[in-house]
Amino acid sequence: MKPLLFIDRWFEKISGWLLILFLGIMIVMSFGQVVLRNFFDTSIEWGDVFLRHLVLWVGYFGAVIATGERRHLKIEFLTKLVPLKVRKIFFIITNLFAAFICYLLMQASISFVQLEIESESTLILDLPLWYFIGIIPVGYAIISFRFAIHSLGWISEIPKGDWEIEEVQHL
Amino acid sequence: MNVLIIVLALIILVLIGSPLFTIIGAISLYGFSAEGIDTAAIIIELYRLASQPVLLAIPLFTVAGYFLAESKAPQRIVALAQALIGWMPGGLAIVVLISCAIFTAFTGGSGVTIVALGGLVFPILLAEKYSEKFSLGLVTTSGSLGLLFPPSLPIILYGTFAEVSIDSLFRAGIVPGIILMLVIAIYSIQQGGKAHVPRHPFDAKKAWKALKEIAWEIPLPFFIIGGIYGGWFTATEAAAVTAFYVFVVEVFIYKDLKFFTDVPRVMKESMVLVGAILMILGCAMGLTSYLIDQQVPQKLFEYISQVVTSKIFFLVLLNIFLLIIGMMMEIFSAIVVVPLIVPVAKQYGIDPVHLGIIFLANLEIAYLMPPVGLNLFMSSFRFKKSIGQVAAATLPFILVLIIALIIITYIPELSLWFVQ
Repeated sequence: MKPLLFIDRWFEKISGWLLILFLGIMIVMSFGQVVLRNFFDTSIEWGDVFLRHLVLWVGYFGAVIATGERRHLKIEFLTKLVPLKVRKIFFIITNLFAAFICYLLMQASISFVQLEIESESTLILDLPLWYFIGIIPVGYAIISFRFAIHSLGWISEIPKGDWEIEEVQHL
Repeated sequence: MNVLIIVLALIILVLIGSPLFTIIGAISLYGFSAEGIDTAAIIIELYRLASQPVLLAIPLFTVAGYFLAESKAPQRIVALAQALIGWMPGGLAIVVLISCAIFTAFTGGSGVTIVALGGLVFPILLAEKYSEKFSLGLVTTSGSLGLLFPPSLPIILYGTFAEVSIDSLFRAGIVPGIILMLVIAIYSIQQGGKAHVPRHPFDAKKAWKALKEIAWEIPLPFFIIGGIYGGWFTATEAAAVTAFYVFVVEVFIYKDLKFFTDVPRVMKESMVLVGAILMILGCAMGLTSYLIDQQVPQKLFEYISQVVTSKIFFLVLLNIFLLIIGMMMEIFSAIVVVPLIVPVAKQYGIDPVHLGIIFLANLEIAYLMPPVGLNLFMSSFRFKKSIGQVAAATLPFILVLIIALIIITYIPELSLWFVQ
């Protein structure tokens, strides 16, 4: 379990760093585009398309972190009413389900990306499109992995009878 | 039979707290596979998001809102509003209302306002002799007012999904947004009068000082609203300017946020929300195309129109439906129903822009609906009161807001006048 949790934590760290880097680029470059357009009647030709793809990347990194922090949007009122023990069982079930769905979404995006690789389509600056959309399957893969690891982590604690760990309170 | 079991399983999974995007994803995956279509189609639809210019506005407005929320901007807004309108009867209540509305417009609601601003103004309200019940109700209610004003994220999401121009929606939201605030303001003035809240004379010196404090943030609403309404900017350009400007002002001028510690933390924090929204949007794009392919909206209309023959009756049902949906889900999740209701509403002759305003006004109120509206939970958590207490305090506000909702719903001109 330990090495898996180690990998899991590194996914979170790397996503965090790249997210900050990409969001920084996004803020500066999108402002630059407005300035160029309004004051100099020009703009970076590939800029807007590039920025929109950057949103996908930042979004998937954000979603990777959301998975670890259990901050995906969900209906919570029922889970707040049940005892912690039940809440934890709910958590394990929903995480396994989420891991499965994300795995299927990963497969779906792999076949989408494959189609684009085969058709040799390019996006901007003659760069292949799949460079930009590769994050979709990678994102789902990491998210699926994290959902799975987190529920497994909790299942492994069941024999210890350790239900009352502080983490449960935040579910 | 098979389908019935799957539907039942999904309902249980939703109720025990599955991330909503996994449910939407599951339905899309099942739907496409059942039709024998490669599930890559879902991702093709998801990727269509990247062709919409407004996609870029989502992270930019979100990060700007988070920068503002984490800075001392809330204190500055409250100080200014208090200096300018604190002298009026019920003035402080209106201060709360206006500050919260501006703040919610920037942060997109979902409880951030209650946490950031509510905690700030609640003790002031009590110190000024407003009753605890009224104060609690007001702060809870104010947490979602302002969603109809630019640059509100829910408006942008509605526009993305309903394929309606964001700029028209921003224009359409102004009058209904003001009406929602006006009814609460009137109610507050009346309550303030009843409680004999002390009034402060206007102090020009104090007002000038508050104005100087906030000088760098004052231009924000003006260039966003002015820029969009004046046609100088698109919503996406306004987002780009706002994000950059807020970053520079909060980090280098006010120095409220530290570059190496606060900025990365807030960036991450805000993009977690964007990531969560993107997951839902992506899967919902797939689901939408499946539903349209199956002509579900058409069938839904045929089914509904047998029972619901008049437009008025449809609007009543729509309001009830949205209040329930909005109570159970967050605004960012409730957006999923948009592609279903837009075509049906069109058949009843309801303009998609007006529908957007109805949709958001309903969700604004739904946040307050007992027993499970999100603001009730946020308030109960923030002010350490039971859900029951918060709900009881909020109830009169809900009733007043429903009057406004009826006006907004049944007089479309209020929304559409500025658009045409």
